[in-house]
Amino acid sequence: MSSLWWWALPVLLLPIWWHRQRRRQVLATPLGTARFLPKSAPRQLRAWRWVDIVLLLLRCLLLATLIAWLADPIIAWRGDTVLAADSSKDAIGWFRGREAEWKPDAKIVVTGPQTMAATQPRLRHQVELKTSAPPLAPVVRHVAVVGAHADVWRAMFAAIDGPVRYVVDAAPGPASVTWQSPAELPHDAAAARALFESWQRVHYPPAPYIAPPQVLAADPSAPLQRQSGALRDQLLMALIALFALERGLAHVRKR
Amino acid sequence: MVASSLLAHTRNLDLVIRHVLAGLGHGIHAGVERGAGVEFSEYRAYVPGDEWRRVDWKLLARADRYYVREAERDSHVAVWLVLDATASMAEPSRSIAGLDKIAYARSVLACIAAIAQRQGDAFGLVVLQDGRTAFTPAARGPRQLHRVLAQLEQAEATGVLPDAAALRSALHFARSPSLIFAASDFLDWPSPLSEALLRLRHMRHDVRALLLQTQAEVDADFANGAYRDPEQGEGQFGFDQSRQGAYAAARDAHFGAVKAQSRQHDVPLFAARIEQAPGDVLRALLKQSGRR
Repeated sequence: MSSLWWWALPVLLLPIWWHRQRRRQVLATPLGTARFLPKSAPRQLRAWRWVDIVLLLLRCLLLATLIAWLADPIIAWRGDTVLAADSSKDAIGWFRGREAEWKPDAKIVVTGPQTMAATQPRLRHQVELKTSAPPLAPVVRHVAVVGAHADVWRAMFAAIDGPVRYVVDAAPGPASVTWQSPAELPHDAAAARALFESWQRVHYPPAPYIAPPQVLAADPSAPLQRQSGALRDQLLMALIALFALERGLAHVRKR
Repeated sequence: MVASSLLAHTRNLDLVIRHVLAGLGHGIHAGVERGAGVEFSEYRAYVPGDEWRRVDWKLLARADRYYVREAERDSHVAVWLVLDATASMAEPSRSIAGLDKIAYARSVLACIAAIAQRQGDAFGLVVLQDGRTAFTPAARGPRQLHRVLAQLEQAEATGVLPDAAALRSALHFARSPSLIFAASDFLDWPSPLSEALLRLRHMRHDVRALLLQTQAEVDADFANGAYRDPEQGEGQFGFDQSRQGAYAAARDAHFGAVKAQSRQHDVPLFAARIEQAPGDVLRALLKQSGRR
């Protein structure tokens, strides 16, 4: 939509025309007895000549900058890139937000742990995921067990093996999470696991799933997200500076 | 005789006067009024600006001081110089570089002022410029000559004529019989200036008009190109050989009407080209005056 602003570029002809016209008026020399001559149309100039070249260029540049600011262009200038991400950042989503800044044939490599999205992202560039799940760091969690069959549950927590270890505290404290044990023990292993997982979901966030290494093929028909602001600030600053310069120069010329 | 090209080289009107009037018999008006040194009346002290020939050398030898012989009576005739200094008077001569109508008018009026001063006449100056009327009251003597020459030297050609009401209110000077010399290009006719001159003539003053033209205007011979009117602003006028006839016809019609009307009102109009020697023009102008 905003690229329609480029059609406003012929506005640049206006200052060119003004500066040329002024030149044409200056050309007549004063003649006291001019009133005895028939009036004539102002003479056309063969060669186009301009007055105040600097001011003219400044005005053209000002208008062009204004149009560019309105059109908000995005320049594809980035080449092959390696995105180093960690598990807390969505590198693919970030890339999709400003994909237009990359050249069409650029290749992207994403390193570091990257959470797998629910659906496969559609991108116009080939993206290679060189992800690796880091070894789970050993975690120690504190649990205080209250309720019936406390000793049984204490034995179960102590028996859990793996990167996550549970330390059973004697009484509930600020560092520990309370395990309110149900009145009766579950009858089979599946019921016990369901109970444990629901307890963990309530108290601990799920660990992200790291996407396996793979190559996402380029999809030329992928929708390009509309994006803006890449050059807006610089263009706005240039616009203000050019406007101030133009006003100053015009004022000096008028004197 | 000084060629008019010399006017282009100096703005010093003293110098112009000294050269133009050298050998030119002076006298604006013939008559009973006496000029310098005609009938002895008294001696007065010399002041700078007095002519050397009026210094009494025998008295100098006796008294070791400069004395000037004064005439018995000063003339009753006041000479008024009217200078049109509007923008169209900046019209340059297309053949002599640096010479324009305003410089020529300045020189001729300065010479008339010098002659009037030598005759003992009172003289004053009216400069019409930029919609205003600059007025130097009439007086006699060498100081007045300096004053008038300074005013003339300051006059630059700008703007338009003052309107008729302003000019009419400025013309109250003419009580005593006076002799009025107006230098203009008379491109506007009727104009506030022409109305004022005819009005003065009807008040029985002696009005003489000096119409200044350039050789290029007389020959209708300009460089091809675009021109604009310095006083009327907007619009462009092109000149080429095909328009020569139309220009000459329009110009002749205008000045024909000007001359007819001035003759009808008994205002002598002397047309001069600024390429002519100012001494010749001055002599012709005064001779024409003297015939009356």
